[in-house]
Amino acid sequence: MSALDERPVTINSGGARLHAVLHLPTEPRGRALAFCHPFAEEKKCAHRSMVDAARACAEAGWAVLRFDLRGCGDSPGRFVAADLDDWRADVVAAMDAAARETGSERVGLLGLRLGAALAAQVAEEHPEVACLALWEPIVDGGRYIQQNLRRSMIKAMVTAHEGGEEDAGAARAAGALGEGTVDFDGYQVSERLREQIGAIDLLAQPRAYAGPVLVVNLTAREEVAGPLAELASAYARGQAVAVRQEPLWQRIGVIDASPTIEATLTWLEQRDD
Amino acid sequence: MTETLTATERHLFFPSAGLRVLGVLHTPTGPVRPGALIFLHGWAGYRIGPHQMFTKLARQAAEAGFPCLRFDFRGRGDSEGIAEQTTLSTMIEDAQAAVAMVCAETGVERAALIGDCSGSEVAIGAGLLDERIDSLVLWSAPIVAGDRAQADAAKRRGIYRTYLGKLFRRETWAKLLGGRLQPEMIAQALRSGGKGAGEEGATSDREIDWYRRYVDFPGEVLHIYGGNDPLTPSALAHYDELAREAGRTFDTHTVEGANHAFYSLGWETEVMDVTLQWLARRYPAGDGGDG
Repeated sequence: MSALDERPVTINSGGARLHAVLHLPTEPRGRALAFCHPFAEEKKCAHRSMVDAARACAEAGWAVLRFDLRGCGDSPGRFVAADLDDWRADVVAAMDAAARETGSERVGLLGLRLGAALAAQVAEEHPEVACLALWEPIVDGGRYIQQNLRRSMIKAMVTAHEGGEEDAGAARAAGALGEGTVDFDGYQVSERLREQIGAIDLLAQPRAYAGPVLVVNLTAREEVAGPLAELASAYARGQAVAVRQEPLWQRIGVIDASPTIEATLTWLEQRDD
Repeated sequence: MTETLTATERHLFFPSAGLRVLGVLHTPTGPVRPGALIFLHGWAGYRIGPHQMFTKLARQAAEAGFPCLRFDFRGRGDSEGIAEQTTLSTMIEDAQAAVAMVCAETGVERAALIGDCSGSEVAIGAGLLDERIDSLVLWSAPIVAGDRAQADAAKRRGIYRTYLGKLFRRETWAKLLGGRLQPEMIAQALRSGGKGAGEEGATSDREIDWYRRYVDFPGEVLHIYGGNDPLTPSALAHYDELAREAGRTFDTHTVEGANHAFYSLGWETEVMDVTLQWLARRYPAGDGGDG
């Protein structure tokens, strides 16, 4: 392994301070990526994969800024106080910081799950985004919320020991904390944030972003899942690939994310346009 | 190399076995208690802990006067190292390096290890190796004394038997939203409910005398378990037996209804409150240190 040039940095996002780690390439090529992490516990599960991806990108000549959205990871703030407007502002601040810290003129975005949806939303308003790499983006936010709450309920009911309080566990997992607030596996999600995520629909209208877009489907199948293929085709320069990879945002074990990373690097190598 | 994030938190790299390990040091602004807290994450986690519990608890503890360190074991999080080469033995070495670094940085001469799941195994493995470590807080500690491979295999058999049995019960399905569930969703829920690959441990882990590491630890120990965690009954019985053999008692707290990783705000709050209150009694304010 070559010596890693990585350093923690602090980003200012409209007065909020964000933790970030800057990965610098040994042979800079004047290009950078900002990484947008997934939601809640998906971030913890995927963290090392995102680090591995950043290191591989740096080795390929890309500077990378990985950052924690406000209230997430090591960044200050309370999770329940954040909303998607804040987080989109954080993505823009991270792009600015990546350009400033690395001297790169053009900064692309790489995101996983909700982070990918945020990146896609930001690119609609910021045509200067150099490129978009979207790993399993949340295309339908309402479905995403429902799936997660059901999964929590299943987990609570099935993993309780004999004689345990299955119903109490399931009720907690379903998340009634009081009006509007959801207990999302230990993350307190405000009514506003839940509604904003529920309103995400990346297929609702044609995508205005005109830069190159890669949509990555992590799957056991050969073909790209319908909604992700549809999303890629909604972009003028969209491309979708199916990568044989387990869902790295859900697994608790140690994950080898190299299939997804290699597919992304292959696409990034073509991004001198 | 350090980066100050807030007045009380800064990221810093420190060496462990020649590799750079990343940590976050929380420094109290007020009087300092005489013990530092070092957080040990689980097998495949990183320094924020499950649902950010380490981040939250370290911030609360720093406000209460505890210097705290959250860090990534080598091969995990942002630390250097190859993921597949991480073992409990390397994690124990990292924990020792973390204790040395925190004591040097803060001037505090006593340390408590707070471990989650496999991090608890690391705490048990490290506790006896540095006399500055005089408290262990063990969240959902698996059985580590005895034959580790056999204990793990038995644990897995028990968990899967429980899971599969429930999956085929009519009442389980009836409760689950009228049965409108996809098999893949159930598979995903189960996959994310346990620990990951590699937990069998390396030869070096099996050579550790876990029994002696636990019963000979001269400090105080607090166990916290989820009342609904399938591992809890056997683990509690096991550590009760060890305590009897050691001729001493260890503190135990069970969070009623909670699962293995305390995946609920109420359970999380209870775990953090019990932990912090126990530590506050162990390291009273105004008892040494800078305060």
